[in-house]
Amino acid sequence: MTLRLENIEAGYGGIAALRGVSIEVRAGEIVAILGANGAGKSTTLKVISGLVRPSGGAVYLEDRRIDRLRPYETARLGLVHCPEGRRLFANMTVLENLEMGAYQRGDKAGVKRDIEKMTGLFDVLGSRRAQLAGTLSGGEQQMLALARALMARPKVLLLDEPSLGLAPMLIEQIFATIAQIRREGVTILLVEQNAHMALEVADRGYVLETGHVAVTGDADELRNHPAVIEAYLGGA
Amino acid sequence: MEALFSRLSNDFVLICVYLVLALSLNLINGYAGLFSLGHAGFWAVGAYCGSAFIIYSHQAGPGIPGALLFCGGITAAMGGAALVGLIVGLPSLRLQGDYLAIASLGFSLIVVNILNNLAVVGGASSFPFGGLVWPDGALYDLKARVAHNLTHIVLGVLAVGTCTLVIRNIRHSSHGRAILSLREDEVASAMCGVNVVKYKLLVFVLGAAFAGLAGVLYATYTTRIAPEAFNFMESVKILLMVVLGGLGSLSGTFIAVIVLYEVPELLRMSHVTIAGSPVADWWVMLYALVLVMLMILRPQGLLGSKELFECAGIRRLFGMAGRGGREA
Ligand SMILES: Nc1ncnc2c1ncn2[C@@H]1O[C@H](COP(=O)(O)OP(=O)(O)OP(=O)(O)O)[C@@H](O)[C@H]1O
Ligand SMILES: [Mg+2]
Repeated sequence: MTLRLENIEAGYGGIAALRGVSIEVRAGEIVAILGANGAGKSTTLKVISGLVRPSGGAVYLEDRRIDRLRPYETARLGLVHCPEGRRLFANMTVLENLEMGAYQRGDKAGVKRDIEKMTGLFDVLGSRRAQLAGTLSGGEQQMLALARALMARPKVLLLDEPSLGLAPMLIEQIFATIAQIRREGVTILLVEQNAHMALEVADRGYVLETGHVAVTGDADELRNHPAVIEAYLGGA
Repeated sequence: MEALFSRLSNDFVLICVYLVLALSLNLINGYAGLFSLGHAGFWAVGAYCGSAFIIYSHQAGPGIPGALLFCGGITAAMGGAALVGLIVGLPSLRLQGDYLAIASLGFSLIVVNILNNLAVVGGASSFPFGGLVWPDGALYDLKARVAHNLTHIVLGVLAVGTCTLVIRNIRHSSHGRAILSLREDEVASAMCGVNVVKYKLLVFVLGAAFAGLAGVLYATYTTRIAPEAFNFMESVKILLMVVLGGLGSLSGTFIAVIVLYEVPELLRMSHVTIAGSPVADWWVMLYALVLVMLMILRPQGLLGSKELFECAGIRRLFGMAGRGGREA
């Protein structure tokens, strides 16, 4: 599915966080959003999933305008937001968290199969099905958050810093998983601080700067863009 | 003998009434995490709607059988309480945060106030059933009183049973998981596709309807209700029963209701005095002390969110294998 943001403006109580952001994610693409802290990356994802209502502009999923929908309605359209800070159900088990991810699905057998798939994909989760999500380590929680999002069988997946706080080995695994999900036909919009990894897996990217798009282009172009290199790729 | 039967049946029926109240508040507060401070208000609405229906229908048609009147009373009580629940819940549950606590507290105060001034249901004095009791007969007639008590014991068991079954079935469905997730993180629930406002309203209205059921049961049993019986302290008492038993634990609620109901009753009967005043007068202090201790030693309540049969000690007692993993 194609996702299109046109001239989005949004803010929190009078403070503008986004000032005219236009982003397009074509069906089957991985698009990365890069930017400094506070640039408006998470806000962009919140506008798409309906957590923040934009004060101007429009969001389209295919040809349908979705910027007036509430979060549960966008979720039911197959637009799944894996938020910043994991937001797991801390006092529910790993298994229950996965089942909640599949809340809107009707196919019980498919859900069961997907739970097996997730616990195979992230093997630490398999042995901890009955453990409360809040007692998992930070990295394990991060994986559970991704697995819960995948349980919804998303058509469009919004990922907010999925590699945050993970050991290098696990970062590799997360990005390999993201590439794998895309091969299954999921459209992905990825917010990342790890610009290096993000641009390796992404097709295109946008760089946000204080609420507007500063640079955009193919992943290759961005990797060689002087401003991007200086700010996000460690000046190498 | 008669006195003993009368006392035991009285305790039994009133415990049933508090059980229905506490179980339904546990659905609202323990499962969905909605903090309601006005459960006694819905109890009052149920008691008065049910009584008004029964008394005025009886006046209109003295020939209507008692059982039919009672069934109509239940419908009026649960329907009235549910409707009021919808009216209180609709504006306050759309907002995130603790608006519900304030709104429900205000609501319960208003209800008592309105009832105190509503002449058609007796105003501040009681709203008696007159000579009307079910099964038919006068209360002062011993045989009728025994039949009245026995009937209400059966009705109490039915009410508690229905309430427990409904809540248990909800808990173990996919709706139950969605309701539990609200307590954890509403935003995350919404992102999983849960219609948060709809579920919160559903839980709140259902809980209010059961409080209404407790109301009609209480009214026909005591045959004489007054607004003062449903004051704010009653809401607090029901809440304490839920918190003491454990938010989200039905068997915990059973234990807590029985303990919190019986201890003051037994103290009252004991005639023991401490420092010149009857021990029952000290109960309020003791009560507060026990609660403070509990919150320090076991903040999750007696059983946490587990059920009795899930606790390791009980399982060992009955030789069941532990399921393990889940710590409260
Ligand atoms: N709930 C909120 N209330 C008020 N201001 C907010 C809120 N959330 C975000 N902001 C502000 O909006 C701006 C954009 O925030 P946003 O979370 O989108 O940044 P970000 O690009 O995701 O940053 P980071 O990389 O640190 O996660 C910031 O200036 C932030 O202070
Ligand atoms: Mg962010």
